[in-house]
Amino acid sequence: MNNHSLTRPKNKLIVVGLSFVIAIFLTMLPLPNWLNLIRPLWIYMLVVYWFLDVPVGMTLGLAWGIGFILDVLYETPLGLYSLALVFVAYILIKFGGRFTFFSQWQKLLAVLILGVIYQIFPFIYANAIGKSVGFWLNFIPSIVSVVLWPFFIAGMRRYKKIFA
Amino acid sequence: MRSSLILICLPTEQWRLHKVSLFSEDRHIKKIFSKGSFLGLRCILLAILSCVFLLSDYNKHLLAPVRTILSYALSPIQYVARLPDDVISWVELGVTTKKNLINENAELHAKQLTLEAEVQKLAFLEQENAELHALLGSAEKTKDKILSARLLTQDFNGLNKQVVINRGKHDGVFVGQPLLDAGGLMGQIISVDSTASKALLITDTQSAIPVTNIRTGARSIAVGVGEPDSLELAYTPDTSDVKVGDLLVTSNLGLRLPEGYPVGIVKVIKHVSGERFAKVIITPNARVDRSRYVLLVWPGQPKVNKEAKQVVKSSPKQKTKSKSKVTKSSTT
Repeated sequence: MNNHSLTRPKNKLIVVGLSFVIAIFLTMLPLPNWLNLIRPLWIYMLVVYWFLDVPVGMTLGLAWGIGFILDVLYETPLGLYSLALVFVAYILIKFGGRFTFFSQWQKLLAVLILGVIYQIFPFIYANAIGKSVGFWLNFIPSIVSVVLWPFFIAGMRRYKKIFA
Repeated sequence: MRSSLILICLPTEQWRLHKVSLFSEDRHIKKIFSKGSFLGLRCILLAILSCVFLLSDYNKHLLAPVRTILSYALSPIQYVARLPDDVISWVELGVTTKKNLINENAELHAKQLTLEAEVQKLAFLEQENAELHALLGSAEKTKDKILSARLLTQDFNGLNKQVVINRGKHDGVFVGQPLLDAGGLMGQIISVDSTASKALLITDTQSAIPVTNIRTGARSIAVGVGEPDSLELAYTPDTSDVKVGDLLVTSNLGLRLPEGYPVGIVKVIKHVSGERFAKVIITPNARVDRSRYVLLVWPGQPKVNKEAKQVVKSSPKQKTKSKSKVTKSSTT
């Protein structure tokens, strides 16, 4: 893959920024209850994608900021999703390079495990205030994200081509 | 990119042959080993910062401005996200046939007639109630003021049962104000912006409403359980007089809600042996998760009329006497 569209810093800002705006839109789209339960973790998927695709410029602080925006959207206490995304970003920056040598199934497993790590913090919070939807129901979005991951990758490649 | 999609559908041996990565392939070896300086330390620092924010957000007022500014910045996206829903309802309106509209019109006319008949009786009852209040020496209340509003957003993560409505400080909305729909109580306002405000629905687990049983007059608290079609009556003694079908209305005991708006009907009563309290489940009268148009209520203020003042001024002995007289006359 050539991503020379992302070499110029200004271009990268637009491409990455716009993708996050779209992800926020998809996260906030009102859906019926049953669809809401299987809504993929769009923001999480984007974070994983960009941190592995263009590691330069993707810092822990950026992940923290995105988490902060998520907290405002989800009405959770400020800092909850920041905490989750900082841990995910840490793992991605520290071990992300090794993902290249993984097989397909190992990669999907990695996405699943990171998704569970990402969802564990809100899960603990929801349990603490007595609003939990149940253990398995809570982690369904992670599984949906993994199922959609190959299609998401394909979609992102097409998305990047628009700016190439 | 299409090749990658096709490859996903192929058997595993083919995958290994092509070795198509699900992540981007062109990663420089240099990038793999450059982790930035003090990565672990920065991670811990940011985690601590998050925890500080978490703890300070426990006191909601501290970080409220930050939240407001950020939600203002995000409001355009929120507006766009709402559009599909609006478009669907708009198209629905355009597509409805003339016959349907005529039918609906007739139905609404019939409904209005019955409602008007009920209101006629209500006027008489209100008058009677005011007279009785005057006799008892307690203050009569003015009428509740009502304003209609429209839902802007519903909750979208399923955790918080909250809605945003299109009325705010400009319309005189205040924190703690009751929110109704055509059926009954729907929620309470928890935060107010200039043109919009947020309400906590009665089905939220953090919501608890003082209620009165219309049949027996017993007071209790209706607590949300996080499901859109049920509430629970907290701490109902096992021996208390509750029956399936009892209507529960709001009571003024919390000094927040106006009296007498319907909350729900008792659906199930479970007696668990060995437990002190029965489990009473209520179906809310309001269509909590479906209503688009809601009503805001300004509870009436107690009118201070002359008679009431006189009674207050007179000695407590006299007051009790007059009270007992009234009760006697009412019982006979």
